Amino acid sequence: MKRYPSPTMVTFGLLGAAMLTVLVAPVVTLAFYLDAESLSSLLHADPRTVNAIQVTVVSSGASVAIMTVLGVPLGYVLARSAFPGRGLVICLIALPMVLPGLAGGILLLLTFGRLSVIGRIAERLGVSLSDNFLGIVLAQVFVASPLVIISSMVAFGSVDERLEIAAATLGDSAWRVFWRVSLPIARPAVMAGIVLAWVRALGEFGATMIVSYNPQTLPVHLWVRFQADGLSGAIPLAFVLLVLALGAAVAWILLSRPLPTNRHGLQSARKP
Amino acid sequence: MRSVLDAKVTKALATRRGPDFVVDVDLTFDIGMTMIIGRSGAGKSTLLACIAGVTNPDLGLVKIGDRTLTCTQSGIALPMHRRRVGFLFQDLALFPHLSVRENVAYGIHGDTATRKERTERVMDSFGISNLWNRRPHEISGGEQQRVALARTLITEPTALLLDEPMSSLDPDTKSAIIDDLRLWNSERRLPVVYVTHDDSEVLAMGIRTVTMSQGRVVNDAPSTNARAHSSHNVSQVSALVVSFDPVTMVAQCRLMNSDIVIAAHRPGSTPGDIVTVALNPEVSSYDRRISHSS
Repeated sequence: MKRYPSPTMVTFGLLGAAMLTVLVAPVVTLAFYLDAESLSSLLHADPRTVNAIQVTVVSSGASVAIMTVLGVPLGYVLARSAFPGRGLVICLIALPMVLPGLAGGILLLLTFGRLSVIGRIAERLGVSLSDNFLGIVLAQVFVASPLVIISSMVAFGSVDERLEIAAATLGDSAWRVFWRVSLPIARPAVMAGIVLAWVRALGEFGATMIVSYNPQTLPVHLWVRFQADGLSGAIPLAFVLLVLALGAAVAWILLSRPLPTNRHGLQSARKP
Repeated sequence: MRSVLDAKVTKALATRRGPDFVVDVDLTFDIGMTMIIGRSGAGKSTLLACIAGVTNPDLGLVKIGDRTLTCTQSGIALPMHRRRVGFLFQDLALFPHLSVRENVAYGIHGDTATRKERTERVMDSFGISNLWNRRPHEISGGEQQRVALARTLITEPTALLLDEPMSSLDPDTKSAIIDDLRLWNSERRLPVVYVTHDDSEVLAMGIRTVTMSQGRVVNDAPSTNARAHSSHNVSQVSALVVSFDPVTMVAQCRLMNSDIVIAAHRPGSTPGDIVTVALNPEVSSYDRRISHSS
């Protein structure tokens, strides 16, 4: 017998379609404005654009590595320990996500800029934390790492603790339990956080522009070209960013497939 | 030579309302099986957690033979992975990202050939060789139970803790697995602590049964003559609860269409309840458990 959708589903479907239109329309519109010839010449002939792509890819890659190495363990600690002020720590971690990028950049400049205490110490050691590649990485880590930390915290928090206890009673130290049980089970959600953080780092504009205007990343270069040449100069660069983001979105979907769960939603998957 | 497990444990647990709940137990678990029964919140799982090292007692001593696992007085608290205490949870905690073979082999080390040979041998002995590459969610509850047991026993623990591991299994599967476990233990001879609130398991096993209530041992019944018998033939009959002792949690149950009354551990029973009682027909004498009603 043919089943017709309920009025609730029809209403929700229409609302969802309106939402999808807002999300998809700009992407489709960009395709209409894209001139293949100008895109090709831009990528082949403009060294500033090629350099911006290189800076963006390398800096976001470095940021992702740093965020993963430092952020995933922090997420695990927050998921597995209770201490006074834990809620406050989580609020502070989430702050850069909700802070406007430009404001974040100003905070970073005050803390790590040439005139700051940390900045001066770093200068004395021969390292500059602003107006260079390091500054870009710093800005990207600042704005994007909350995505890694919070997704890791949620991912590890949803790993049934009894699995870790079972592994420990089978002879594994806490270190081995993390690598053999906790991380493999939490992997889809942790990977999702890492990919989202990479996308965020890739498109980072506000904080990067304040902390390190040069060398230019793709978003900063896009802004510069828009200022100089208007839409015609900016469209090919927007397309490049869109392609990178699309790749990340596909990676996010592929890497974040969940493990099978049982009827209780626990990963231990016991059948009734 | 295997050794007995001594657990002298005092642990205060915070409650949302009212004073702290205190678990205060001093028990020696001989080689073989000991059942611990009691209603929810009696402190059974806390006792197991203290023995396994999941949590540390406020005061106490846990040792297996001469090997001290916990001694609060001298500050000894071996971490879980060094205790060699097998722990089987109610929901089994099979690793969902690993195959059955990988689950069973999880706790053993050595070269690949040795691990494979040992894993095959143990899987054979538990009748799960056919599940080699399956994932835990792809096998039945009884098979999962066997996998969890094999995974725990392959590490050759010095004691085995079972926290209501068969609560969701049907009686036949349960009986078969208990027999497997008995067979294994007749060779290994470990102290096995089996926590349950299922009366049919208690009767089928016919072994020493410790009853806990509000953190304390309220009854410690020695083994009955049912121990030597197979549990395959356990039959279940309906009975009417005629009286209930809230301290020992023993209910007097009169079998339906009969004047036979059986004393059974049934936490939370109320006179007038219709309950199911498990009987092992091979046991010729229930003299300690059965009396004729007047």
